[in-house]
Amino acid sequence: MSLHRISSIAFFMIAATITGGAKVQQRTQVAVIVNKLNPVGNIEMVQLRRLILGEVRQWANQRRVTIVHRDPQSAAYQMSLDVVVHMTAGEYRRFLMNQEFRGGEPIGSKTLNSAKSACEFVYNVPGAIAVVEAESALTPQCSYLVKVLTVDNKLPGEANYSLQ
Amino acid sequence: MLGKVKNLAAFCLLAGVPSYLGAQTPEDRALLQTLSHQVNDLQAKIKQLEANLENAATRVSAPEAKVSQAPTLSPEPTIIAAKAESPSAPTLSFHGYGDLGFERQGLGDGRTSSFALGQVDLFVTSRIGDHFGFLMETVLENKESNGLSVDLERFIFQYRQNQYFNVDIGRYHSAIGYYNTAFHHGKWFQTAATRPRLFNFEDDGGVLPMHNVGVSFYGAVPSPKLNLGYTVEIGNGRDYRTESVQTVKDNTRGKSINLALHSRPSKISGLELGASLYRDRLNLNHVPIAQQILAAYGAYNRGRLEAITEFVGVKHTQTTPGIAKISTYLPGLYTQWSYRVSGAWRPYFRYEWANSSPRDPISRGLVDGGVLRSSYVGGIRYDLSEFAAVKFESQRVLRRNQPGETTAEVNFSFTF
Repeated sequence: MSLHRISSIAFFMIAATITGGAKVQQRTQVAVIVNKLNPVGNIEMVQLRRLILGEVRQWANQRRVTIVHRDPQSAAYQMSLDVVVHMTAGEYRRFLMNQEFRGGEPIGSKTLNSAKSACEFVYNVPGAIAVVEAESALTPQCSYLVKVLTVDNKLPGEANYSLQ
Repeated sequence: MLGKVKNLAAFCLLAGVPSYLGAQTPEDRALLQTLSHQVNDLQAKIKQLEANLENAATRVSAPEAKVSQAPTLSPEPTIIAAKAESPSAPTLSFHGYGDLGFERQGLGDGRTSSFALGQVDLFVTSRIGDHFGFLMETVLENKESNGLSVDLERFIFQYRQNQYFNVDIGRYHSAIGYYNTAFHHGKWFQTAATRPRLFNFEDDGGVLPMHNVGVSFYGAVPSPKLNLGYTVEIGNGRDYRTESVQTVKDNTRGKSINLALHSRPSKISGLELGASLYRDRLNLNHVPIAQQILAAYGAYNRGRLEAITEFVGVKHTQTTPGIAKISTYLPGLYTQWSYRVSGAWRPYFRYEWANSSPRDPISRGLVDGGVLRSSYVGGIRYDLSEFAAVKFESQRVLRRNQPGETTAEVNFSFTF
């Protein structure tokens, strides 16, 4: 089989997968939570991205940043990658591994399988920050324990909130 | 253990009760008292053991328990330091990277199509203290001669003081430009199947000193808006008589110096701008040559869009006694763009250009040296999984006074 034919077959396979691979994702609203001892009240999207990518490792109060992720199948995790860092799960994982491959300090992170667990973890760890489902973050059980940050000066539910 | 103690206590009680019922003599009373004390002691021990067992269970499941307990109405947070506890022994982290594929290359009768093994990259890091670490990258590389070579690509003892001051000692990748420190040997990390020719490694005919042995100081410069970072490297430099890096003996008295500065502006997330200046004094067959390499780049990675543009200028000045200084220049650049069009598909394109003088004493002895004019690279990357990718790539290479060459390859790269 000639190279030309192989190339043609490969091209059609690629084109078919690209056109068929697009997924319609359901959007949800997510909230950013931090420990109540954290002096930060508002965060800009650019800052949030830098935190999640590990470009910023310390808070203003010198606490070490710990990123709390929801499990990879959750809407909150997908949102944090899609809207904040603009990466797929694979790209984000590759990015994190490359940080270490480049000789950098691994990013402190924790993956938890529920928003409630994330709230309680953030409640216990002063430098933790999590992106969780807004409806869970705004429940009294969670908002009593942690601080819900405004993102670009807007809270979840407000008009033009960025993380939705 | 606790069960045994309980059984023993029960036995003692049963043994003691009949004696008590018939106890009349002082000896019996004394025995009764002794047994009673023993029972009390055993009960106390049981309580203590039960308490110890409860504490131990709490300690074992503490991290999970903290996140699974229902929040209380008057919470008192248990402050957990994010900093990891010091391990009792150094911890070792290991990752491997590999690649292989099918290539079609060459000109005329020399054109070949081959299944080709690439590199096996064994990457190890270890924390050996609060401020110290170790990094090693060993690559098993399959050569075009069908042989296998083993290269210790990086071997670094790290000292990390804080974000502003860190030191690496050992064999590292020179901070010349962007590509050499952003992408090391594992092909899985880089978008394209091939590196820009300007940044080819020494044993692939690259002209730049991609590896160096020495000391590297790096860190951030306090600058909230620009987010500046610096790198200062002092090393043995490169010996252009061979492909190898000067890992043990420097053939010149002087040391190479590289100064690099980069900025990641806080307002434009994903953008990195940088420049570096490398200087060394080479000794090529007893001819002293001053080498200067100036590099500047802009890189933008916002997930979906990745764009890298780099410029490199190399100047070699021969200073033979009794002869006027001869300077030769090698300017080169490349620009690479890629855009994720769907979940796992990422087409990319790269244009490269370089122009060195055939009189250049360094580059004329290298593959493509002094003859490469330009190349066009196009391809597409598809992530098969989070840890594996396949890349289809084709290149059109144009060299001075030679017919153009078109190559194609399919490359599978992965981490394990």
